[in-house]
Amino acid sequence: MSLALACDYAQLAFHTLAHYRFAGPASLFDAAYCGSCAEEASAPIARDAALVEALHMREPNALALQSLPLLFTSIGRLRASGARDALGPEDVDDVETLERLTTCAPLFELVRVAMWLVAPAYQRTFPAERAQRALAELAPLLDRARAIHPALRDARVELALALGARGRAFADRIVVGAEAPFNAVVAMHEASVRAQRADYARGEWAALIEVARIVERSELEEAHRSWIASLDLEPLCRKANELGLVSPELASKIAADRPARAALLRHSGRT
Amino acid sequence: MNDDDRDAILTRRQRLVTLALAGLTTACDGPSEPPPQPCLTPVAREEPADPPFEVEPEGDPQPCLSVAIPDEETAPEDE
Repeated sequence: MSLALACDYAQLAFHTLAHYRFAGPASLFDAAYCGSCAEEASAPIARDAALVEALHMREPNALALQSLPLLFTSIGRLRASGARDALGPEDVDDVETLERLTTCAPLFELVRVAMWLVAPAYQRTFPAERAQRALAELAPLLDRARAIHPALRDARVELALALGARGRAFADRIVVGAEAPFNAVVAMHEASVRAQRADYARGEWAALIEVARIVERSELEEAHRSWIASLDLEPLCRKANELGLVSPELASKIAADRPARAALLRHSGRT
Repeated sequence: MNDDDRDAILTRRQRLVTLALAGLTTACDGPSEPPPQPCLTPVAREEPADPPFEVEPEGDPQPCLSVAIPDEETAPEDE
């Protein structure tokens, strides 16, 4: 079990992805975060953002871009291979991720260029003290979450500033943003999603129910209630109903009644 | 930063942008394309919360839940 800041490359990858307005849950766009960044740490990404978004919309394998934070283990490695037209296995730190990203090559290559160009400014302006404070803030909350959620207990958890109130589950780690106390709840959710090994909608739905039940009457119950009220659950509720996971009436209630969601999800899991 | 590297990357960026724009234009104008869709404008997807793939045994990364953003540049709403 561990908790640490994500490496500088992963921080940069999430920072870059936070600038693109992709459709649906693939999006990590965060206007508030982008607005808080130094101009020089945003401009090289923003310049081609509309094109990247258009490519993402049309690219059948666009979701492969979600693997971007795994490709390198340092910005130095990204920059060392930046001039290459195409990366080879010897250039990267995760060959499987490179293979995955290659399936959406035009999109990936344009993003890689943006990352290379913005990297020096990003490193100069990275708020290291804020990151350390966020880490210290998350640590006790995560301890509480680990204590009540077996799937999270031994998980490697990392913090990436640009993720805000979002999270990402990878095979070997869970990455959450800096927005406490949501990030502890997000870590629980990501651990549940990862443990489901189901398709997207079934996995998300089961994770929502599981975490809602786990946090009941715990120190994280209020944080969970606030977090879950902040989500756009309408598409997932619709899909869950189509899959027969929830009645149409309850799906509509969960989508519409944000303050009551946690209780409704717990009820959904017991019927 | 090596100036040669930067020049090479800027040149590659220009090439990628040109190719991408050409591809998007061709895709929009080409007669053999499926039903026309607007370019450079997000289209409404039928099932935005249902990406077209399933989790593989090794647990490939995938996007998680969307955070609703009621207003520009605000934190998630209070309940």
